[in-house]
Amino acid sequence: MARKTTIPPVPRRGSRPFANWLPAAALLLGSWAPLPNQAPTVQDIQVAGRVLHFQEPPFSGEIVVAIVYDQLLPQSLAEARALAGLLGAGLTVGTLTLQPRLVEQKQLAGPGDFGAIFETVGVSDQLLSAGMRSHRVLCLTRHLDQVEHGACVVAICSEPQVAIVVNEINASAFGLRFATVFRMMVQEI
Amino acid sequence: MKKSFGLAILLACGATSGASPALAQSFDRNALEDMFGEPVTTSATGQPQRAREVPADMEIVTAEQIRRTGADTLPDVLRFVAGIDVRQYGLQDASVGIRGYDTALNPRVLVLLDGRQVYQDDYGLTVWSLIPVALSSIRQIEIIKGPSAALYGFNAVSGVINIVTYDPLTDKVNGGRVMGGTQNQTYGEAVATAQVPGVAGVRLSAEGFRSTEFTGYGQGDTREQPHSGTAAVDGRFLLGHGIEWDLFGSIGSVDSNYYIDTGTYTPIAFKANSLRSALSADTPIGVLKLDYYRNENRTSEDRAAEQGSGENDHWREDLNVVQASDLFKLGTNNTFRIAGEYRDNSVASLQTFSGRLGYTIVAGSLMWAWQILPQLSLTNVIRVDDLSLSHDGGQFYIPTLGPLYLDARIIEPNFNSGLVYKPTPYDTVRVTAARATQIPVLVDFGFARTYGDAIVAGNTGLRPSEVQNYEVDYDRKLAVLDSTLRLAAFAQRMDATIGSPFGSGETLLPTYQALLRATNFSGSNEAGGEIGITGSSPNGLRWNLSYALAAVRDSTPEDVLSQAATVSFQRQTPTNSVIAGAGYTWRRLDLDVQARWQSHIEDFALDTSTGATAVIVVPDYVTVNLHAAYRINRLFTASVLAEQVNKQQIAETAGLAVDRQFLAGLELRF
Repeated sequence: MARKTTIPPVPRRGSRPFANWLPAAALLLGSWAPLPNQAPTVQDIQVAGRVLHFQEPPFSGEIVVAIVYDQLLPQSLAEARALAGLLGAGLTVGTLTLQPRLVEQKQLAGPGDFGAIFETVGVSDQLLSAGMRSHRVLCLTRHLDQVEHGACVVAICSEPQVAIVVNEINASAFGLRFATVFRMMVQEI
Repeated sequence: MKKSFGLAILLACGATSGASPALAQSFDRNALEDMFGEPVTTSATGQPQRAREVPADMEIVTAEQIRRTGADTLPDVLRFVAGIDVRQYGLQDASVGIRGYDTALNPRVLVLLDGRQVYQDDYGLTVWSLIPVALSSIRQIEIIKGPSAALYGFNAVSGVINIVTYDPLTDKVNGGRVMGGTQNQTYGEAVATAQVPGVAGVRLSAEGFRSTEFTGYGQGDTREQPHSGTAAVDGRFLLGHGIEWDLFGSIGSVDSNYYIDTGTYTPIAFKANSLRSALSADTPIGVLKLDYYRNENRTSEDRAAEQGSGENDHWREDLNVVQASDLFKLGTNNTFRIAGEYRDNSVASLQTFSGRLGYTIVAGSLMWAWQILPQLSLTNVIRVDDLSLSHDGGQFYIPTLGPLYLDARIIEPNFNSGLVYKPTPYDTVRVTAARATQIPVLVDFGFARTYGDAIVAGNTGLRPSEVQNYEVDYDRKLAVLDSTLRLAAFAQRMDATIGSPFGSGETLLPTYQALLRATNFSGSNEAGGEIGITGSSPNGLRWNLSYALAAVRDSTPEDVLSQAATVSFQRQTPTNSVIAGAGYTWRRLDLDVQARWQSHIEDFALDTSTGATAVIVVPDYVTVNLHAAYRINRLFTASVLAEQVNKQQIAETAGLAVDRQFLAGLELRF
């Protein structure tokens, strides 16, 4: 069963004269980063792994990726299982090896040595925020709305072209930074 | 210190299990290309960008494409790129033009190796075989079609070719290649990389070429056995997190025939060496870069008849360049690059420059990239160059005209603007406008010599040539065919074209001496474009088809142009060209064929019996290359290349006809 969460509006800082009409204009001009409805692919994981490479400071070696899902939502569980299946016993991307761990959203704020969070469809933003506050690690998702209107930091899309959207305010709120060059090559909102 | 700080943050966060902090480059091209699945470049604006998003018409030739040509020279690689003209005067002498305006020793294309200028400002030419790079160490060749002076300064008027090599810090390139074939051609290259992972990498490379020159009558004095060799060392060191130091050095020499702007061959010996030190750091105020390099080029005419007589021209060019820049992002939608450059360029020769002639350039530039909407960006780059020309040495007096060497100053602003609109993930539209300036090369400014009753002289009063360019491009990714369609249409105007001392015609002085002097001519207009499609299929098939139009109209009167080879662009530009190619990979075998047709041109040749310049019609021609490569095992690949397989001889120029060539090669990669 699909569940819609109510989240407080994300505070915007500074002067952003186009902030109000940007989404509307984006809709008029066409979809920039289409929402992936299909199952996750290994390309999605590879893009996510590369994004982790551009964190400041960068990591190398093995990190545990918490794949967060809502157990009451079949689509969320299916996406989580698909992601975990793609990662298998550990997937190496560049200098990082990503180890999957399925985490129910209510357990996210609890103990765990996660290096990153992968948010699946339908996860509560309040629970995600609590988990991110607890772990202070990067959240990635395939669902643009979770970055545009939620607490997640990076939305990725690997087809038909790679697109990466970073919510800079969310990143700052959780003390997350990226390499300068990376920031120049992705869309920051 | 920085590493310790990073570690402290990591421990405080308790974020990872087996992860450890790592040093990272300020610009990790490998990681970026892996992430985006397409080439990444900084050549268009100085800002790292995905190839699809650059605000310029850029073509990227990848390492794989280079390998599939089987070529042993850079011009042979470039020959099958839409919009590029390669005119081969000899086995080691090729002039390369972008969108026409190609002349012998073309001074209008700026050629760089990893951002370092390898174009020579003394005579205004690129000696391709003097570029210290082995083909197997090239990651990609980035070709900007159209002016790009706002980033690179003077002389990037037709376009820029930036040869990008593999990063010795992250890319391990080891191996060698030998080729041999008709006309006693032998080519060899070797590359070796040593790395301390994540900390340092050093790459050594060397290549050499020797052959027998094309057969047939060559105007002037031709050398039978052109040969060349270069060696380079490139070390990159990660000094700290985001702090990188690049140290590069090279040497090289070429002995070959060159078809110069007199319309004759002259044997020339080039010797070059270079040194570069570049530091970059990703800091809280942006990516800071400090780059210094020096190029030393020695040019010596080597006509056999004049050896030992002191009549052969020779000089030495010294170029010192310091560049500093800061690339930073303000907010979420604005990226800036502030840069400054100091350049000291001089030639020295008592014989041909009456001492030392040189200029200094102080330049400042600003790049602003504004992401107006997710699909729409606007990039503006403006640069102002201030050139001061001076001469040390004895004055050269031209009878009845007075002294040649006068101090001069040129201040020129240039700009590039580009609007990029991506309405869908499949489509990109670009609208660009640019102003660029071509300055006279040092020979144009101050060559000075008397040959019998003829005086050849530069002109310190020359005006720079201004180019204005407007362009619309459209790229479409055709997912069904796994192809990319590219269209470009442009119009440009060039004012005050610059004629070299040898290629501007002659006048008779009241002293009855002939004066050949560099001078400005009227302008030239051009309209044209390219349309092309490239694609590949998962079953190993690949193809490309393109058409280029370059319609040039010179404003200078016809009777003047017929004696002025260096500014007679309309004659020398092939108006139409078509390139078609196909390839197939079957198991261990790669088969590729490339064909190019171009319409006729008119080149120039000096009639040595009369001393007059004659216009030579070069008919349209088709050239077809075949290449086959077979991977013997994990280490070795054998290949055969048949260049110009369709015809024994083709006249590409007013000089020697190009012979059909067969080459066989063996490559080792590990």
